[in-house]
Amino acid sequence: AAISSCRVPMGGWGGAPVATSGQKLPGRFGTRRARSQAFSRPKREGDDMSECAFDSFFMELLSKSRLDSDERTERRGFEIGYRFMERVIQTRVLAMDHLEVIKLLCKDFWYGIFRKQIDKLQTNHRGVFVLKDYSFRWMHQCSCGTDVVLNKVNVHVLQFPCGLLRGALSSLGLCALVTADPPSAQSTCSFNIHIHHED
Amino acid sequence: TPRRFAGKKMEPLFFRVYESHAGREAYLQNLVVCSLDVVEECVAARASSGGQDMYLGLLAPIDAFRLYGYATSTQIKFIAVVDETARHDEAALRKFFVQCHDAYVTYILNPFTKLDATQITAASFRAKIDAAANAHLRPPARPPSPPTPS
Repeated sequence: AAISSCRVPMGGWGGAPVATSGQKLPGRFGTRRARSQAFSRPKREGDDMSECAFDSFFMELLSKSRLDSDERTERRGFEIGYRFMERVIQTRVLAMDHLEVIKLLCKDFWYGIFRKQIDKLQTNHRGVFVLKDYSFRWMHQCSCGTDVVLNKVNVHVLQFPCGLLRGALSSLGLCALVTADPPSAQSTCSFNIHIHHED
Repeated sequence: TPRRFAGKKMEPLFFRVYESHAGREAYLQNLVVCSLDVVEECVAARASSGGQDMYLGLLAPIDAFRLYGYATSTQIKFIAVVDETARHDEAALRKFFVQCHDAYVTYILNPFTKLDATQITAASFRAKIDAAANAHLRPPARPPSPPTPS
């Protein structure tokens, strides 16, 4: 089947970038891109979480989980994605066209978590979607290559965002299978969403 | 004297009866289940017309009650059953449902709640629904009768 590629428009959130509560990070996490950015969306107190706190937490979570417990990591992501989608979609009615739902994931949902949208969306118009993020925040420090063990680690890390996406879709009533390809380049991730059709 | 109900599948996640209707839970619940068909129709109509309103409006007048509905994008439905005699305007009902929805989102964002729970038992959720009902669905107080001349 032919895959057509549609660029997700980037301008949906009013342009100017985001102010977070982060301070200058200690050297261990490297220098992050400028956090001194402001956006027009009204923010609530306590909306943002300290990025380095979450990174530490996430690393601990992964180091405690065994490599063969992909399902548990995915399940954790599922719960969070499911719940967060309720907030994301609270003020609007969504047309249940699959493409619209995936676009919502790429824009609002991804933005709500990572303060950026998905960089590229591809679909074969038959229920399969590929979402690509070229600077995926949680993979900034990953090494990628042809090492099998390393790839396994990377895919394990990616189970969590797969769960996020699956949870978000489930919240909207869609049953889907979400997998991630092992990253081929630094901090580039690709998620494959296969939406199941109701029988 | 309203009654509220939220549910995803056929069984209600939350069910609350106020004031004088306290003894008729089973009957009221039956009414609500019957109205689910109408809710489904409204949601389907909204989907095909591309409507943007979560508030569904008056679903049906049944017996001495009127049923109003509200459906979110995440398959959660809220149904309010009010006395026929209480005339609520649309704005009040909308505000009521929006507050209920907000209470539900706050509830579900709590990671300690179970996703597959069949009942919402949180006291804070119940309190928020009660507050919303009191604020928007209380029947207007009768004006005091004029003093009789002595």
